[in-house]
Amino acid sequence: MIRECRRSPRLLMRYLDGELRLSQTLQLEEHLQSCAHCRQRLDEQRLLEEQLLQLPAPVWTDGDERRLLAGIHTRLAAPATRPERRPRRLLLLPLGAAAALVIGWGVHSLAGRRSAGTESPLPQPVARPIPVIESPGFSDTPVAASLPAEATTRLYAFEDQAALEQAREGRQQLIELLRSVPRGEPVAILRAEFLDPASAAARQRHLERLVVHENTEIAVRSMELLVDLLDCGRWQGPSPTLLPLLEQALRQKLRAAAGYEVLRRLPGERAWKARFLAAELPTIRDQAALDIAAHAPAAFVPARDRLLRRLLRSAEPADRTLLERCVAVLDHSQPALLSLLVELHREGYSTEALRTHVDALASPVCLVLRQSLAGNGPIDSGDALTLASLSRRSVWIPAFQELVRTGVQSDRALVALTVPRGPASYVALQELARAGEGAVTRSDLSLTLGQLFERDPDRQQHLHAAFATLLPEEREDFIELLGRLPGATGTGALFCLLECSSLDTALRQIVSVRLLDRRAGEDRDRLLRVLRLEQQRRDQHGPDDTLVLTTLLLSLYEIDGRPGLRHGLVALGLELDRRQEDALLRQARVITSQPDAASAARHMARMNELLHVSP
Amino acid sequence: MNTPPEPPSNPPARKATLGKVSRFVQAMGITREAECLDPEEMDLVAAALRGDPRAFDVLVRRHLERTLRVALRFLGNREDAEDVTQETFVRAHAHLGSFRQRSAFGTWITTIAIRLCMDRERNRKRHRHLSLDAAAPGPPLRSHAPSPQRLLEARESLARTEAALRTLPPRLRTALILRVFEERDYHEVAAILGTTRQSARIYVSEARRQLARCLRPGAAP
Repeated sequence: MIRECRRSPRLLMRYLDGELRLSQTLQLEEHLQSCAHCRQRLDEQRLLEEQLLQLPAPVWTDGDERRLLAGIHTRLAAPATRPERRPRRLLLLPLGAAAALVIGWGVHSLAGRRSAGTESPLPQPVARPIPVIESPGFSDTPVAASLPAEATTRLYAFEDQAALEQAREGRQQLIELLRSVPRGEPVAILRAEFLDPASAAARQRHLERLVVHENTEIAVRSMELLVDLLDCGRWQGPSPTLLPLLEQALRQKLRAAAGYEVLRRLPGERAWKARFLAAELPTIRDQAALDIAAHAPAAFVPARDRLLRRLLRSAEPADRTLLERCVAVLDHSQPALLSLLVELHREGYSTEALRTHVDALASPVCLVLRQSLAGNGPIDSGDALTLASLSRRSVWIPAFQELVRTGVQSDRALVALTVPRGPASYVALQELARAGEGAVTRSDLSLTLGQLFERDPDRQQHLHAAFATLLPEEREDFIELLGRLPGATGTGALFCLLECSSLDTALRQIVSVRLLDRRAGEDRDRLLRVLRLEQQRRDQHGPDDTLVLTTLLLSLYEIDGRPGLRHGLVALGLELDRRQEDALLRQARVITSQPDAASAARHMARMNELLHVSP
Repeated sequence: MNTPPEPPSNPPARKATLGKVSRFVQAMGITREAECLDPEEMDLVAAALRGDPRAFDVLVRRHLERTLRVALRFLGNREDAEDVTQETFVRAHAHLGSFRQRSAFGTWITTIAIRLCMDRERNRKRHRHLSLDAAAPGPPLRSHAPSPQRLLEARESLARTEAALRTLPPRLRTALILRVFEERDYHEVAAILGTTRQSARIYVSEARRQLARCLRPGAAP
């Protein structure tokens, strides 16, 4: 009987969803090895998932689409035939809002009658019309000129002008007016304003004070009308008290949106101060704060940077849109952008995404980063190193080399050098090893090279390219460095080199002897491949490198005994009897034991005979 | 049914404020850019609000199939599902003005569809109307199938799964459909169900658990 496990089944679900962190996954997998109950539950869930996904998907044809669409059109065309229960919640709305809705409805039906000439398959949505005036951003110029013609047709109709005349002064009248204006009508107050310009200023002062009216509805409406007036360029200029009043309104959740809309339209430096103050308020959403940051004038750069940092700290790491917009906002300010990227790193932002940002940095920003790396830039050199080491571009390599040479953060610079950045990465390590300078030892460099080699997906290609750029005297040194790499990494690197076309005979011999020393045999297939390559090379260039063939054959023999040797011989197209094989092995041992020149030549000649080639 | 308020973009923070206050807040809150707002779709919504019928048609076409799929999975009955789908878009059209673009249009549409599905199911139960599709036919039989016996078994197994899915409570079923069949992320599932991401996770997990128990070999059908 299976013992019940008390581990939460939710962990298994998250495992199935692939949502566990690596450490949790490993832990759970280890647990699954030993817990039959959880294994059973997991299998059950997997089976369930399969069963569910086997359920046939609904059939969908173009005909279905046409039919359903026609059905929707029919229903929309005859809304009255479908009695719809009036939403109960509407009754709870304040009376004023209800009245406004009714009036709004009336205006729309009037408008509908007016535009009855245009035939459309769908009736107009019974909805709050969106503002006709597009958001003006933070431009200080009013947008009256760009008012579309249709805006005038939407003017709220105050038919009773005499009543309006009476109402033009006095707070209470204005409130009544506000109550009667349907929400969302963008230019609703225009007509009233046109009637008596003389009273406009007084009305504006009333309107400004209404933003803190105890009735939220009135306050919000007044702010919407302020927005209308600002958008239409019908504003005489805000009074000194408006900003403090707005700030007060912004602190209230229900008024924040409307207040912000007014604030973003107000001109002048004082308005910017108020905007930055407002951005700190919890009632202002991140998006609005970002807008403020994005449009901040030069004088407000420090405030902007502070604001962005605050946003970043409060943002969820998963909220990439916000973070990316932060980066975009700062694109033209180098030190701020770099500091921000460093903070992103600290806040656990995705490394991959950061790498993309760093790689995409424009050259002025790169310059600042490089100066900072050298310790004379605006950001901390450790932070600069963190950022630069994320990048996959080779431009950072000289800076890392410099750090290694000077011994400043040499360990971290070495780690940075393990990120593959093309052939330049290999050359850089070779240069460091050759120079023998700095605080790092040769084995540190060798270790770095090993890690680089392992992380590099195009290692062979890069290694070959790097090798081709080295001077002849540097090449042997490089082989020596590669030869120090431990285990399979070292063997792989030597194999890579042996397959490199720019490797001359002498160096190939060195490499093959090193391979023999390492008993490089786990990779028999690779050994055979190299052997075939050697054979081709030998067919083309003559038997000057019998030593390489010999060492490779001997390597094969040492891994697999006679079968290995025979594999190698077959790869070379040779068939030897047992006696000849013995002779070959004897010669090979002598040749690879580095005899004196005369004896080497004698044995080599004998070997060439065995390998069917004349010297 | 009331048209659902658009799913909040930040469910945990809004958990406490329910009722009309939250409706007001949602109606007036400054738009926080949701992760999945499609600018083209926002333009289409704006155009539809200005009364452009083609824009609304484009929106419908974009979401029609997906909505039908969700409704069909939920209700298991094509006729009802098609009716709910059409009604969904009619409601969406009527209340387009209340869509404040804090979530993707598709999320909003799915929210409406799910509410309508729940209403429909409640009515169906009230009228003791049993769906003939409860034992829905599986995939069509094919003549070259290996053996009638195997096919029958497969069909029965599918029907059993389908029936088990129907027995889940509506919210759990919704969560499972959205997550497994529609591959929506938990954020969206939470938004549609009007709950937190953590709760959405729990819903899906609980749905899976109940379903697995239902489909266990020894379980009563």
